[in-house]
Amino acid sequence: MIWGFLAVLSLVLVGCRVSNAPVPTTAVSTTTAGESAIEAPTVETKSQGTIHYLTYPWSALPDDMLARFTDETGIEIKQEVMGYEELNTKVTTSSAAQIAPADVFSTYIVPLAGHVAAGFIEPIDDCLSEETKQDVLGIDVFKFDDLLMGVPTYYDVAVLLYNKSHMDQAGVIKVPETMDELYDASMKIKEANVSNYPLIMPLAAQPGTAGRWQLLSLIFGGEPLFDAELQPHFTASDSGGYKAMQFLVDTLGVIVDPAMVEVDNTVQGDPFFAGDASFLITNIGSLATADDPELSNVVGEIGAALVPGSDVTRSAALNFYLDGLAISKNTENKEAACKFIEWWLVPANAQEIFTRIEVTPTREGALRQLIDEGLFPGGELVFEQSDYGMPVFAAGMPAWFDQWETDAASQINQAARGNLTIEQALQNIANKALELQQ
Amino acid sequence: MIKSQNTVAEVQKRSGIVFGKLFAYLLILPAELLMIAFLIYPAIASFEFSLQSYNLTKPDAIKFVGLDNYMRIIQDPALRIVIFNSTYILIATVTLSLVCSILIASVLNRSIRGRNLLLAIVILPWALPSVVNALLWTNIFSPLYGALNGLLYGLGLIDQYIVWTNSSIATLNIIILILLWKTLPILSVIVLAAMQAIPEDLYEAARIDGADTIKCFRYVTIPSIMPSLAIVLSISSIISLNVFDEIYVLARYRSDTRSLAMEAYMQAFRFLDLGFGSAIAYVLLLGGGLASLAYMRNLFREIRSSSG
Repeated sequence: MIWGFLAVLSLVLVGCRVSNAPVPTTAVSTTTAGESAIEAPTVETKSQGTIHYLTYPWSALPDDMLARFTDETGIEIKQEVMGYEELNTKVTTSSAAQIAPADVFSTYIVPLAGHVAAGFIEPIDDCLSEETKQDVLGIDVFKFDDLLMGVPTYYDVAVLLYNKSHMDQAGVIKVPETMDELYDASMKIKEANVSNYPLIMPLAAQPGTAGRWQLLSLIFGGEPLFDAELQPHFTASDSGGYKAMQFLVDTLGVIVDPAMVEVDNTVQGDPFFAGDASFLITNIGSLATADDPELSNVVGEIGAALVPGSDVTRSAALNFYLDGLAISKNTENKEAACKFIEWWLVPANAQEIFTRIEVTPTREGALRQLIDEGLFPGGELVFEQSDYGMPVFAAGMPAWFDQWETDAASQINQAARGNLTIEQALQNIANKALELQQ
Repeated sequence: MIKSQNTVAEVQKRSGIVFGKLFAYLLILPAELLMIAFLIYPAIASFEFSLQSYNLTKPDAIKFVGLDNYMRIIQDPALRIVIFNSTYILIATVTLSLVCSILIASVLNRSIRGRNLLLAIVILPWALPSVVNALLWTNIFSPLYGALNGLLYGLGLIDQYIVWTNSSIATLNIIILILLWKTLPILSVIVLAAMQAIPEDLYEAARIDGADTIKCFRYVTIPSIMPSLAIVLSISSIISLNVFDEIYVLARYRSDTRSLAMEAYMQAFRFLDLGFGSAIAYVLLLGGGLASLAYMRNLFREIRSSSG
C-alpha cells in the first residue's frame, strides 16, 4: 500500500511540474469505477467532439439520454461513474498532475471549495446565458471571488420526515415544529413502546455528521457559526453551536440509537425506512424512497414537514449543500463541456432527469412546474424550507471547509462516544478552524 | 605451453562467468527498471516533497521547510495517537501471526483426513480483496443489523444490540482480527511448507537421543523453519503497518483509530497537504523497511551460522 501511495503521490507531484498534459478519456459509454479498470483503459489522446463525464452514482444519466445529447449536439459523451470519495480523490490527483480527471465532472460544494483554491477548476461564467443564471437556484454558492466555478444541478434541502403511523399509535397529534416538541414526541413514542429509538441523528465520524451539527446550530442559534472575519462563535454555552452539540450528545441512547456513532451516513436512514424509527431529517428526495415498496416498509405512512426550529427561528436550512457540475482547468474541450452543462439545464431535460433518476432540478421554473403538475410529491416543501436557508460562514465558503468539516465530524463523534466533553469538542473544532486559517 | 593453455582456459572461464553475469543482469533488467520507476524514484521524490510546505489549497505558499513536517509528526498530539495505533496493530498482529501460524501449521502438518481440502479452504481469505474482507467483517460487527448481534440476541445472550467498536481499543482489536483472518492462512502455509521440508531423519536422530515431542519441536522444528518465520514476520509487519482499507471501511475518519497509512491518505488526498502526507508516508516506509531489514539480517545470520 505504501509503495502505491508513494508512487501516486510522486507522480502527482511530478505532474505539477508538467504542463499541457493530454486529457484522458474512456472508451465506452458508461462505466463504473470497477469496470473502467478492466474494460475501459485510459487513452492518451481524444477524438474531436468527445467529452468525458465523470459522475457520482446518483447523477449518472441513462444511456439513452446520453445518446440523445449526442444526437442533439453532435458531441459524443463518455460517462464514467465513481463513488463520492473516489471521484473527489481522482479530481485531486489528476488535477495536481495537470491532467484533466474528466472534461466535466460532478462536484459538491465541500470538495469544490478546496479544488477551486488549488486552481483545478475552470470558471464557467461564459458557459451560461444570463437568463439561465437567473433561473438556477443556489448558483451564488458556486461563486468564488465573483467567478462562477460550477453550476448546481441537484437542488435538495433537508426536511423532517415523520412516520404518521408511529405518531398515531403513541397519541402524538401534532407534527413537531420545534426541537423541544421533537424531543417530547420522540419520548412519547418511546414510552408507548412503538419505537426504542424514534429519532435518527447521524453521529459517525463522517462529514455528514458535521453538516447535521451545523444545521442544528443554525436552528438553536439562528445565525452563522463564523463571523465575517472567520472567527468561530460556537464555544459559549449560550451559542447555537453549543446547544446543538448538547442536543446531539444528550439524545444519544435516549431517543437516538447508540449505534448511530458507528452507522455509515449513507445508510443512517435505513431504520426509518424499515419502520423502526419515527423521525428522520433528510433530503426531500428520500420521500420517493419511503414510497418505494422495494426499498421501504413504510409506504403510505410517511409525511414531510419543515425541519423543526427553536425559540429563535421556525426552521433552518443549510443553503449550500448542493451537487453540481464543474469543468476541469485542464480540459481541452471546454466548449463541448459547456454544451453538456447547458443541455442538462434545459428545463425539459432537467425535468426528465428528475423523473428518471430523481435529481431535483435547479432550474426554478422547471421545479415549480413539476410541483404544480403534481409530479414531485412533497415538492412544495422545497421552496418553503429553502426560505429558511442560512450560511454557516458569513463571509462565504472558505477553501479549508472540507478539512474543517471532516475534523469537526470526528470531534462530534468523540463527544458522542464520551471520549470528549462538549466543551472540549467545541474548543477543538474552533481551534482547528483558526489553525487552518494560518 | 601448458601455462598458456591454462591461461586460455582461465580467460575462457572468466569470460564465461562475465557473460553469465551480464546475461543474468539482462534478464532482471526489465524488473529493475520497473522497480526504479515505481519504487525507488517515488521514494526519493517523496522525500524531497516531505521537506516542503506543499498544500494544494495554498499554491502560493509552497516552500522548503526542512524537517518541519517530521517535527510536526513528533509534536502533534493527534499524530501521537496515530503512531500508538500503528504500533499497537503492528506488535499485536506480528506476535499473533507468528504464534498462530506455527500452531496452525503444526496441526496441518499431521496426517489428518481431508488436509488438502482444508488447505484449499483456509487459503480463501488471502484471495479476498482487503475492502471486501473489511466489508464482510463490518457486516458481522454492525451495531444495527450485524450478524454477531443477531446471533447473540437470538441465543438470548444479550437484550439489546452492542456497539462493538465503541472504544478505540476494541476497534483496533477488531482490525487486528480482520488482518489475522486475512493473513494467517497464507502465513500458515508458508510455515507448513517449511515444516514439510524437514527431513524425518532429524526427528529420528533426536528421538534416539532421548528428545520428547516438545524438545523435538524446540530443537529440530523451530531452527529448521527459521527462514520461513522471518518471512512471516516481514509479511505481517508490512501488512499491519500499511493497514488502510480495513480502517477506512470499519471506522471511516475516526480520529482515535487512524493508522499512519490512513493519516497519510487523509493529509495528502483529503486535506491536500501533500508535504505533510509525504512525510507521514516516508516515516511509514522507513518503519516497514527497517522492520523487514532487521528480520532479513537475522535470517541470513541464522542461515550462515547453521551452514557454517
